[in-house]
Amino acid sequence: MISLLGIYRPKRTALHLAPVWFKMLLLVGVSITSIAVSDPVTSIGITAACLLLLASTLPPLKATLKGMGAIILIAALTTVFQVLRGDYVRALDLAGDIVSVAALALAVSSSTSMGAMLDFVTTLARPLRWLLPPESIGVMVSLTLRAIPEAAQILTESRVAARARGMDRSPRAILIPSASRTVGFALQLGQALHARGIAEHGRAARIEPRQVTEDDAPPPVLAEPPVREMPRTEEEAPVRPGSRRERRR
Amino acid sequence: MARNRGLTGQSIALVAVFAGLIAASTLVPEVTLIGGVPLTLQTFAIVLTGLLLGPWRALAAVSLYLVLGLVGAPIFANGAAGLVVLTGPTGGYLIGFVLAATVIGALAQLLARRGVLARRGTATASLIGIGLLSIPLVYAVGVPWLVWRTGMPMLPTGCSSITDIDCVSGLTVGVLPFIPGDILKVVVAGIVAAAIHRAYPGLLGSARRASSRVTDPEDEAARATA
Repeated sequence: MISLLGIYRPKRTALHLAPVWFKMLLLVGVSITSIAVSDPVTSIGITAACLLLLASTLPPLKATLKGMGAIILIAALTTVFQVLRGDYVRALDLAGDIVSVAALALAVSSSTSMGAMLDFVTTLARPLRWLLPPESIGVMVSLTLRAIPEAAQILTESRVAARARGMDRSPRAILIPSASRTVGFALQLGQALHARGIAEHGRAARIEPRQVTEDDAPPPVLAEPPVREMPRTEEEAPVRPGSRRERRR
Repeated sequence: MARNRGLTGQSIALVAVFAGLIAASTLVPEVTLIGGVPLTLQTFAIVLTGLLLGPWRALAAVSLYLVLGLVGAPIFANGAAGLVVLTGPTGGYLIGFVLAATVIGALAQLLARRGVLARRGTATASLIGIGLLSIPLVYAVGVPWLVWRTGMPMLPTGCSSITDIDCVSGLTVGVLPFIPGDILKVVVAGIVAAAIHRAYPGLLGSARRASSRVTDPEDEAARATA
């Protein structure tokens, strides 16, 4: 039921080989151009070029039609509306804008793998690393991909359970158990992350350098909650984990 | 600082799982209400995320959902995926989701700090009240975007009958048909959020008093289990 492949297929066309930043720049550029230019001839030219680019990436037919279908419907409705108002030039221009940007966006999607796109997003987010370390982005993305089927399963199971009680028309009977189990799942996941010290780099990295210069202690093990890096008494110090967590890494 | 404290395992797990919930809410078939009215779950999931997670984590969860959708996972409504959704005429609603989740998250956190959510009688009503704010926020971004991309006028001018072409406007096409369903979803989300806040009182940081036995306030593990 759930496929996370999207429209991307691994091929070797020109757009597949082009770097991601170039494709994104192209998309931004074409979006701005097509919106700024209100000349129908240019608009149609850009649309044709974008459709050709989309075709050049050899996208899967069914997914492409599905992706374009809604957009073409909206473009058609817009055109009809503008024609009925008697504004043919604007009709062509607006329809061209919508279709061209959509076609180019699909072309980019169909020629760029999710991994490459995520790398690009992480690079874009690099100036924000004081707020959001890149490692945390990676952890969150992979956790989310894992959580999607989990959440879908929770929703489905809650619905089956509600139906078994004859309450499948009651949103409360379906959604309260779903939400409750989802939060419970998240809290358990959070404890598991905390126990392993995953996703605590943010603070650990900021605290770490000063400490290492002060004493010759080894850098804190990842699997250690950052609060415990500074034992307050000497009795707590020997509790520091040693070989077991080292081995697990 | 709040930022550093926010990057705990618990917050990251909540953000990731709720981004997954929003994505899953577009994938599972909709809930059918009494009378056969279908209830799609996406708005519900967005509002619930804001009401449960607070501003920063809700912002992160909805943004994460958007980023995953933009990079090509087919998790937008109707199985759509990729940049085409954001660049299309309805992309503004997605940006509106981010804004709405953040704002109602901030308000929900305010309520939690005031202790309103701990009282059973007022929690549901106040959460629904906050959630209703999300509707104008989503449309405040979504409708101008739609109007701009399709060239419709914002308000109907001289509209006399339903088949009149002058009736087509941002307000009549992009807002009014969805308002009843949206209100219904927000009410359901408020009821569910109140139940979840009762079940997990520590979600919005309001458990500080309840878990006063925990001596070290910086210990997230203790707070997570509280």
